[in-house]
Amino acid sequence: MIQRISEPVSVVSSYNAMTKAVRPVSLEWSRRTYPVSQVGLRHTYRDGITRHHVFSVVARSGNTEPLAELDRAEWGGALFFRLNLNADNLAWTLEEVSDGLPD
Amino acid sequence: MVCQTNFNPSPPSVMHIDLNSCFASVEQQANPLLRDKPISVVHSDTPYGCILSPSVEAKLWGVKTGMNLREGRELCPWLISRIADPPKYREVHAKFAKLLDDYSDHIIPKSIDEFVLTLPPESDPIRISEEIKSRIKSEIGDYLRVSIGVSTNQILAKLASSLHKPDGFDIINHSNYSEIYGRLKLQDLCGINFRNEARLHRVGIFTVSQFYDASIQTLKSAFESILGRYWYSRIRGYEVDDVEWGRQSFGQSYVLPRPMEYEEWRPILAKLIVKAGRRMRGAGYSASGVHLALRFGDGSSWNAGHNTKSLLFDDASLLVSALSLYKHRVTAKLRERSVKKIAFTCFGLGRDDGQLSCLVDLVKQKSLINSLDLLNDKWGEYSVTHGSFLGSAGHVRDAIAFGK
Repeated sequence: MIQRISEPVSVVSSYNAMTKAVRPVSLEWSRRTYPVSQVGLRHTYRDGITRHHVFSVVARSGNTEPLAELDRAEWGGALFFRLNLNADNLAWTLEEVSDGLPD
Repeated sequence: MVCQTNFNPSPPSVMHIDLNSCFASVEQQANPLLRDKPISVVHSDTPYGCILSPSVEAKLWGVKTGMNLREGRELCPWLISRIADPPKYREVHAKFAKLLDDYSDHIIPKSIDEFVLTLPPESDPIRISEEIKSRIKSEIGDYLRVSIGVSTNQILAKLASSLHKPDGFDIINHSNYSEIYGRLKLQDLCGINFRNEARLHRVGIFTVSQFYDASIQTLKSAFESILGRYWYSRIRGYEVDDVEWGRQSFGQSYVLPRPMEYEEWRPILAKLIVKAGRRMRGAGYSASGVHLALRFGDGSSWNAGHNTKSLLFDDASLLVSALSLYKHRVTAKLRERSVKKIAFTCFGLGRDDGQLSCLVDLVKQKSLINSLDLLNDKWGEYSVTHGSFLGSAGHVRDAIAFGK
């Protein structure tokens, strides 16, 4: 199941000066905190002169109470999030959530 | 050209690298929850959306590129679909190109998922292949797999890369070509489609080994063209394909979500023309001809092209030229049919020769078009659009063409 979203999201990120890489550490969505366990890919694209950085990440809910349909995933609540960082205004947007199951 | 009789004895130095199930693998790389599952990257997530790339797992169910999603789900009910995301694939392509740059100064990107590189003399292709595979996993994506083929020319290197998929590595050289040819079918060779196979059948060639053993005269009579001589060299491992062809045309095509009447598809044609025109101007060209092709809802088709008296560079002129083809060449009977697919091409490319017109202020016109292009570069595609676009919103998304 895939859910396309376009809403501002709070993200904690880190920057590693050795690898010169930024990665999201956790995000808050739907009043829950999701620690990021894996960054699958980071890619960029341009919309006019504005560069966007897209982070495709997997995260598990840090809370314990069950959440709607998307949390019923067979791999123990892991969800995929597509996070978009606008390099112009440094705003994070949550664009997609999915559980990796067929629709 | 000297006619060789034996296989090229040179050490194999042409390497073909193919990213397996490219778009699907990149999606599985991005989303680890999709890994080891049958997925397909589609143009649109509808039953008739075209499958652009099935994953390795989906291929095991028989899902193939070009099927529609409904056909794919009939074969594999668990098939997961994802809409194509071109910027993601372009970024992976760019990372591949950067990585391969460390191994050769002669790299040819054959398509979004294929590269050919010429290895330096005395290099060890086995060690280089292992290193490239390892670096791809550590530097680009741990789920990305490539098949690598090495031989003495491009066509055999590509053939070698296709022998074991995914994650394969094969070499075709003078010591093993005979054994490899013995287990292949004619259509396994890139460039031998069913028509060329029929040509070979007509001269008594039914296997790749017979193809290799055939004389140059036999192949010339089979292909009835220079192709016979090319294949005689190719199959013996000699290079005939290391040629850079200049660009001949710019085109855009689009399959409409449903058959549409003229008033509905005209704005979409305008959008296609603007996309093609932007690419053409970006490469520094103007066109002296346009071609328009339509496929109708009933499966029939129509196409026509014409040369223009002057070089066209602006979208309005390209649109007027394409619409005049439609208005003057399409019969009234055909116009009653709704359209399912539009393809526009501008050809006869030429560089601006600076010739001024006494009828039109070309300098002013070009300046305006360049300014519009700059505005769209800065603020994003279609920030400033033509009125003729009205009604095209949501159509003609970014896409990656097959081939180079």
